[in-house]
Amino acid sequence: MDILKFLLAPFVASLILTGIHAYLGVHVVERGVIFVDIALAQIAALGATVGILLGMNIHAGGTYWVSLGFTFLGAAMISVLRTKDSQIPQEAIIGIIYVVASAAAILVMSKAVGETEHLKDMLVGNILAVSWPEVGKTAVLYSMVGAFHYIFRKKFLAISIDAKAAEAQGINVRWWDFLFYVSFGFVVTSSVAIAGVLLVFCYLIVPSVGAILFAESIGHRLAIGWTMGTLVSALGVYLSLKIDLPTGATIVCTFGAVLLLMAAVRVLFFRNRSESISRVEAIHRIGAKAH
Amino acid sequence: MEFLNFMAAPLVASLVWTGILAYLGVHVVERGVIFVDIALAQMAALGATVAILFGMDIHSLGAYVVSLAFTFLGAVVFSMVRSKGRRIPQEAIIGITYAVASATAIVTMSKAVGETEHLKEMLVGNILVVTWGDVGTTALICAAVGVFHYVFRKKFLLISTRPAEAEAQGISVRWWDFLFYVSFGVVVTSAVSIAGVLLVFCYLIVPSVGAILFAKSIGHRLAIGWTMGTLVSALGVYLSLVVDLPTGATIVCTFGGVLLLMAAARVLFFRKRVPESGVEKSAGVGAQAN
Repeated sequence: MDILKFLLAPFVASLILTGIHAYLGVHVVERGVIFVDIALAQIAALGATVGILLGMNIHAGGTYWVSLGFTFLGAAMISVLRTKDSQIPQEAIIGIIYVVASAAAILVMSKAVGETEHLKDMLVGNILAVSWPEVGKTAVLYSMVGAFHYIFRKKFLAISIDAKAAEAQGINVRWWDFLFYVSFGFVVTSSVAIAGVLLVFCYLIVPSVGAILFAESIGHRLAIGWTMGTLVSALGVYLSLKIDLPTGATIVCTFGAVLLLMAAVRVLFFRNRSESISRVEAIHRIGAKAH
Repeated sequence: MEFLNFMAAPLVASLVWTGILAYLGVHVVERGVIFVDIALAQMAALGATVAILFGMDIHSLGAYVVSLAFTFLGAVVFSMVRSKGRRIPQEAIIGITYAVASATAIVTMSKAVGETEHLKEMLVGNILVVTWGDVGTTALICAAVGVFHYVFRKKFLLISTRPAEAEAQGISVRWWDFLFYVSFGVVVTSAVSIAGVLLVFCYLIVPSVGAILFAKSIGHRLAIGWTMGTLVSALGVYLSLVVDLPTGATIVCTFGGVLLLMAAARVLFFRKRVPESGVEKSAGVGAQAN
């Protein structure tokens, strides 16, 4: 029972993370610019690192605001650069932002104490160390963002699924894009402090991708995504304790493995669906060729 | 003079990488799937970490082979899912592969000795300690790949810039895609073991992007890219020594800073050109803010 008490706060934290990120991830995948979120997460992490350099504690309010400042700067840059057939692919800009932010964080860390532990925390977080006050703050913040997105869900869905149609309907796409990235930024900044860049990326993308394998409608995708996120979080935390591995990294690997399983299931048991060739079938073909 | 002696091997290594990676980067940007290379670099790093877990030295042949095997695994998967309008964006697959490979490397490292130094080296390498032996090995590998790509340059260029036309001409795009990723993997695996994932990505993407700001033809882009890569490498290594910062990370940040300068120069001094790049939009915001 003691171990359950020990795990309770991290597990609740992962539930909260799953809830908001699986939803935001549906938007991110629809928009097709997957790496924006990893870049924003990394910018948030850079901000947190700067906060630590200035002597703040990573879980303190001050660090959150510095981190948020960086995230908003990044979000503004990215929504301004929303590409319109430019010569330089937006992915290239985002990739460069991600990599330079990572390197800058490493530079900042090299001047702070306890450098290399921070690097691992930056990437995979330290979800086992989350405190109940932190869980509470996160829950409140994410509920507010969730409510905001629920109220304006039609607009947000419209600009994510078909920006041109939304523009034609008179929706100011650039403004709502900005609002999307702002709310996204609030969430990601908070999540990265607990879960790290890689794990936040997983919470965002993997449930959504897993859901696409089995569902078309947004509602169904959310249901599958939330279920997957919850189960994987529990399994990942459990495995990390059993095998004594870094928790955040284990959850990421568990996400990967479960996604692979879901893809295999999709191919083996749902062959009637006529879809365009999915990665799943490609892997199936690789497996078949290997035998 | 002693300073130059000390820097000679790192500088030559960065010249070699600038040469081959700036060229490969032109292809990567043309194909528009930028993150494939960071995912492949991370697969290579994961392979190297697994090799270390088995007790091999990171610069040994054994580690290179294990690393290469992981890279090829990634290359096979990616060349098979070259997007054909499917519902799951290829970028999502690549992103997930990148994140899971990173996490797996961290998990693997946690079971090996000296865990957290490896993590930093995985990301930004350790270019200052490169030996002349390592430089020689990587130069040979990159030269071999360079020759291969020079001989078949027309095919490679065609499948990267106009795959539909290549297919129409009877070229097996999937096969040449595979060859591209194999040669790419061979180079990246070698570079990652010395320079790290983030720095290799920079050598690949930033010179190419910087060149696109000023040139259209592949030839001109290569010239600008090679120049940029060389100057930035030298400047980055120098700064890291003067300010006492991790070298690889400093070179990455220098790439970012120089790219920003190039973008600003493009906007301020080349305004007559028809605006096409996203960069100008951001500069426009900057102008409005003033």
